[in-house]
Amino acid sequence: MSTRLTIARWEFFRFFKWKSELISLLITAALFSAGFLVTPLISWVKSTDDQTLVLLGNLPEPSAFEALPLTLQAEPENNRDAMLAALADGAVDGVAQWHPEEGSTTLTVMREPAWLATFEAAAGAQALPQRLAAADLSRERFAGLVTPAPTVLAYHADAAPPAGRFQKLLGVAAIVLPMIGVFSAFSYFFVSITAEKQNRLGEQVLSAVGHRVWLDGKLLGLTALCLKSMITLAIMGAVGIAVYFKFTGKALDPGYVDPLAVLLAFGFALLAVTFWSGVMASLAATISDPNSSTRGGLMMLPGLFMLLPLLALDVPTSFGVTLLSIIPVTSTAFMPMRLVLGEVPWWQLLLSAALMIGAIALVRLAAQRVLKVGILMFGREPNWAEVWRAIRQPDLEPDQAPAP
Amino acid sequence: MLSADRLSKSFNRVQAVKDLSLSVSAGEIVAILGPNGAGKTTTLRMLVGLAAPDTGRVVYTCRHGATHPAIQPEELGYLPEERGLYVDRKVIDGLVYFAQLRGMSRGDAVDGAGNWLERFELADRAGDLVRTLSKGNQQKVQLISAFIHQPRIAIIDEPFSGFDPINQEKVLKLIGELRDAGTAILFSAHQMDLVQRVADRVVLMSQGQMVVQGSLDDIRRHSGLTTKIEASLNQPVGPEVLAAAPVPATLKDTTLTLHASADEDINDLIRWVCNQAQVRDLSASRASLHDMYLSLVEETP
Repeated sequence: MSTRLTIARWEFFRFFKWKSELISLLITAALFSAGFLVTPLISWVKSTDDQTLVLLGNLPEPSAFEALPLTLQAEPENNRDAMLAALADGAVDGVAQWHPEEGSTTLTVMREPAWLATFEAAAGAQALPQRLAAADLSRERFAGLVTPAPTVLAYHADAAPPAGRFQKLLGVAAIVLPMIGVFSAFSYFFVSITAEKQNRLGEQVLSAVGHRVWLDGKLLGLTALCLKSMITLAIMGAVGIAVYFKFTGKALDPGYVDPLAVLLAFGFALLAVTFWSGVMASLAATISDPNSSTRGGLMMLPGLFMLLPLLALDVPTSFGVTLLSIIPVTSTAFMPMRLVLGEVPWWQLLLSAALMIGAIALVRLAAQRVLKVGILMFGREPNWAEVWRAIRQPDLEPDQAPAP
Repeated sequence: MLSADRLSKSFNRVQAVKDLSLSVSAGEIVAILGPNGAGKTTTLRMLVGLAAPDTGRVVYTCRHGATHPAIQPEELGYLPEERGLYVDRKVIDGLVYFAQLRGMSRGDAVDGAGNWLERFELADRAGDLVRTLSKGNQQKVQLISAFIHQPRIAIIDEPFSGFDPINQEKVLKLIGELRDAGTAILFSAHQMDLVQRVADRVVLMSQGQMVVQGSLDDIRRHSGLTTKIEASLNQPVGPEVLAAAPVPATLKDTTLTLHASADEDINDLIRWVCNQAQVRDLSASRASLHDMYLSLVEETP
């Protein structure tokens, strides 16, 4: 075990550097801070307060236009030509004229304005009194007709408490964090193993520790590194969200959160990272040159599995989600979401974990065998038949593979 | 300490090694020689357990006296043909890591790495990244990583390659010291002059098979070459002179070389040379390993 830990420590510190870590945290904090500035910045960029809209003639509902983010300028109808000239000169940004006979409004502009939709709503309000009169309807009666019949959502006394905003955020985190972990595994294993292969380290290490110990050490060290990435992101995210709600004054309804469920969800996230790490190690060992190999793209495969639960955030109790949360591989993505969004029967949880641990054991075994063959194979990549043969035959050597 | 019995290995129906048997004892240096593709590296890889033989077996007696089908990793010092280092890590870190993989404690590994770096005049580079070292210095680090844990048996593929003559001498000295300390050493090399200075026994391979093995004297006897007489002539001689030579002879420009066996009288041969043409310069020396190698390998069908 101590050799495995030595390898794990080595792999961890191949990528973990205190200085880089600190810089990375500072950059993340800076990006979070920048996020708070985005909303006011967008408002400032999109501001049209300095634009002027001319309203010609007598408008039946001039107050309807007050919602427009513009300076309004009322002018008599006979000033129309002068106002159009002002529009051409850029002194004003639009000229609106009400046509009572047609019940319509003409808006003359030099280019389509950003506030057109708001203007159309206001112009529609101009026509409303005329139309109500024609239909012999009071404003109140009309309002009653167009108001939808209310639906009241009531929960049964035995129902689980509804998910609050905080709980939903946890649901998203339960999907995003494993994804971060898996993509970290992708990058760490890819760099770790292809660099060792290119630097011809395989023979030296294999002659000292063998492929089983080497892969186990790598899995331990690099999974720990992924765990570090997940925890760092979780802390940064929690701090960022707390700061956001504090500054915006919005309420963060905590709802009901079971700490054990959060812990179990994190455990499943780790299972996901460990499983995909094994797959990544196998793939990386078959890649000779990361710059030209087409297999690098395959390493994005876990993304598909990890993103699927986003489609099911609203239906965490459906049969499909229940099934996918038990079947290995998809379970690592679906079970964490189920755990934080609702109750999961113990038998499902245990079955899912047991199946996933079994799948990890198989992937570990396969990865050890592929690593042994792939890391010593120079000059060309093993084809899929050779990889499959390596998985099935533990003692297959790299140079026993048939020539392509 | 290590013996290999009738090892054979094929790759894609190509026989890389056939029926090879050899052994190496504590405090002995055995050199494996042979042309490229002779099967030297495959043999070494089978001995360290990186390749499984198709037939035959390896028996290793560990320090506790028990026999094993492979060398115990912590007792093995291995310098592979394909050299490799963690180039983005510090020199000292890489050495300590390799030593730990071979069973050393971290403390001992740090001390050992420091001593070895001192010995190879690299102590001031211990904290540098490996990639910043010259190729020769990287070779030194590679060599240290193979010996830092004081192995009982060292298997070294091409230990001299990549070194300048001064450092080749250092490597030679190191191999000698390891032998004196009781380490069994098996190595392959192409530098015949260096091999003959350090090897106790030589295994000569060609086309996957052993041609001959034994001490230098054994090989010399087997090759039939013992003494080389080299004469610089004032003018070239014709092929009829070569054909009439009493022993195997070669001619290059105006240099005539005779390869004499042990039962030949050197004085007779020198007289014969002087009768063929006017001699400007003449030397006589025992046949080198290089000569024996060429003679034996060229004889192999």
